[in-house]
Amino acid sequence: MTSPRLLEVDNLTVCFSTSRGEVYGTDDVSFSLDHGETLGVVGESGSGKSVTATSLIGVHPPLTRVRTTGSAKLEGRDLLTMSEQELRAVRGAEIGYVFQDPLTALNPSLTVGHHLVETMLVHTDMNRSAARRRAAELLDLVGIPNSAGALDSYPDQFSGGMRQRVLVALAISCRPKLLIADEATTALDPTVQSQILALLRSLCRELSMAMIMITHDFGVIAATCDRVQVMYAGRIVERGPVADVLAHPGHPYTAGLLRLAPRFELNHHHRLHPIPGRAPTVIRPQPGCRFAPRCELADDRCEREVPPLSADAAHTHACWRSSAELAAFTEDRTAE
Amino acid sequence: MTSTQQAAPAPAAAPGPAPRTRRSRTRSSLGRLVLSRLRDAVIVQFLVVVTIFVIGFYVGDPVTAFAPPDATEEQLAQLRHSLGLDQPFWVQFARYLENLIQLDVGTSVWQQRPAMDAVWEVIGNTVLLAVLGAIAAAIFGVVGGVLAGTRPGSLTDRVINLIAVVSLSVASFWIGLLLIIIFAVRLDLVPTSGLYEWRSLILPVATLGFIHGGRICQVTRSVVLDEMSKPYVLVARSRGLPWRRLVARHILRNVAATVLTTAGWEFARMFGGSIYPIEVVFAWPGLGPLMTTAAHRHDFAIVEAAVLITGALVILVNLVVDVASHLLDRRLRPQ
Repeated sequence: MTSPRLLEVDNLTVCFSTSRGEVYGTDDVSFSLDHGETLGVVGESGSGKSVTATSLIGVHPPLTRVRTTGSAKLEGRDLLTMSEQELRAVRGAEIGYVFQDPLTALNPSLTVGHHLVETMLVHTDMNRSAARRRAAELLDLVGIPNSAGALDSYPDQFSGGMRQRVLVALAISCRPKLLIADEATTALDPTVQSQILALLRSLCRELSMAMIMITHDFGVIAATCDRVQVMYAGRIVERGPVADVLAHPGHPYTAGLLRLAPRFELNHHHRLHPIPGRAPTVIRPQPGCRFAPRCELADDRCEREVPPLSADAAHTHACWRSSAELAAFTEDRTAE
Repeated sequence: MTSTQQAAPAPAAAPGPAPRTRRSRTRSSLGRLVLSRLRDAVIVQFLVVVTIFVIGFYVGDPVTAFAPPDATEEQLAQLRHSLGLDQPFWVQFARYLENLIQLDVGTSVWQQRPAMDAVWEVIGNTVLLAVLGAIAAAIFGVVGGVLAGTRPGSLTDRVINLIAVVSLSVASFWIGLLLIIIFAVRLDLVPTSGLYEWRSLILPVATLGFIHGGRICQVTRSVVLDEMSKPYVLVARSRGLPWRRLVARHILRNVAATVLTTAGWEFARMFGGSIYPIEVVFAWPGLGPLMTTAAHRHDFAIVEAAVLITGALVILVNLVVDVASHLLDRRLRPQ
């Protein structure tokens, strides 16, 4: 390890204090990311995907009480122990963040140009006119027509897709090393969604940015990412290269998720196979595999011991069942 | 792009990001707003005039107060006739309006001169006090409201809330007297009363600011709190904006119109009554002492003149607040 990796997250645990006790947003999560790499994070709502990402930049919704342990190192500097002031210099400058809902993410009283210029004024020593020129270039880059005029427009004069492009422009305005796209295309319709995905992909290549793509949609992952990690109830259950995971899922949960994706095949009469039960809210850590209650392959051991996630292998999963057992089960299911 | 001159009003949801069209639309919609509010203002002012006249017409008989106590019924009737008080309602109303156009609401029996003159002489002092008081109230309210609203549940928040509640619940003249005792009598820092130097302004302005700042403070706190939970604030924080800049450039801008409207309303409430006892307490040569004395002496003309003018003033302030909110917040502009 000569040069530090871009991002190294070790044993990250995020705990929310609520009236019903401590809720674990993420539980002992470790992963890493190289420069220019794109990592997909998949999981159901509440599986801890977004919490992992927001704790990296230390921004939580107002009125929440959060306790974070572990470490998250950006090029060797621990984000979790940084002061608010140091962290502020990282946000927007080194880590760009694109949120889910483009309709409410911009201040309706300020022009698009104002948003862009102010971000650059805060993070760089550009003067106002230089920042304005750069803002127009950015809007060009994300594919907004008539970029000079768009600077003086207000957010409500744009469609949802265009506003998401503006948010992407905002996130990359200070050339961050890492872009986090948190359900960035979920609120958009499919045609716009694929445009934004293509945009993110090409921006990553052009600016040699790394990206963490958070989504619940394997299709999005397949279109944009090098690697994928699957999260369930605050833990990572599987990780590997996208093609590998899609072809040979190693965890029953991943396999279940993949079976869920509707296929566009004629005369197939394909049945959807929902995973029985609901994802748990983790209030008190329980022994064993979190997925065991919903898993059709679970046995006593699954309920007693937490299956480990091996740290070295490229494609790894946290399950006591062997890949062969799972493959046989999956085949049965698909044959039905 | 096509900025046609005739099509300036009613540009239905123009999606094109063209700054020129936007600006011209603002100007024309501002013009329409001012015109419609002016029309409303005239109607309201007319209603004020009608109300004052009706009250004057039916309440009390000026002749009995005017005539010597031993006057016979015949003499009274003659006096009524000479003053035109035996004319029917509409005739008297028409004559009243005719005089009003020349800003004549009658002669003060007490001061033996046109009532308007007596009011004009002192109204400047009252307006000065009210404007400074409103500014003080706005400063107290906005600073307190922002401090409390950005730190919900904290000690600062609780202390400011307590102060706001006290400001809303205590009587204005009591606060005035308290301030006189502390700062004028005990500490001898400022004059007790009157209007002799600029320092005489301090206590009455502070009293007014305190009494009227409470509500502004509560409203500001509530809208700031509401604004803070909006997603754009989270997004702005994720871009690394410093907290101060976020509050000053984003949150304050979006709550400005609401706060301004509240402040305008508090200004109107001063003329609705709260400023007069404060003027009396501080022996401030304004409308308060004038109106109280006039009322004691049954000098209806002065009270009427004062009510007319303060009514017009409140309507004017409302107009200004409306237009200013429109300029401050683009979301309030039509379309």
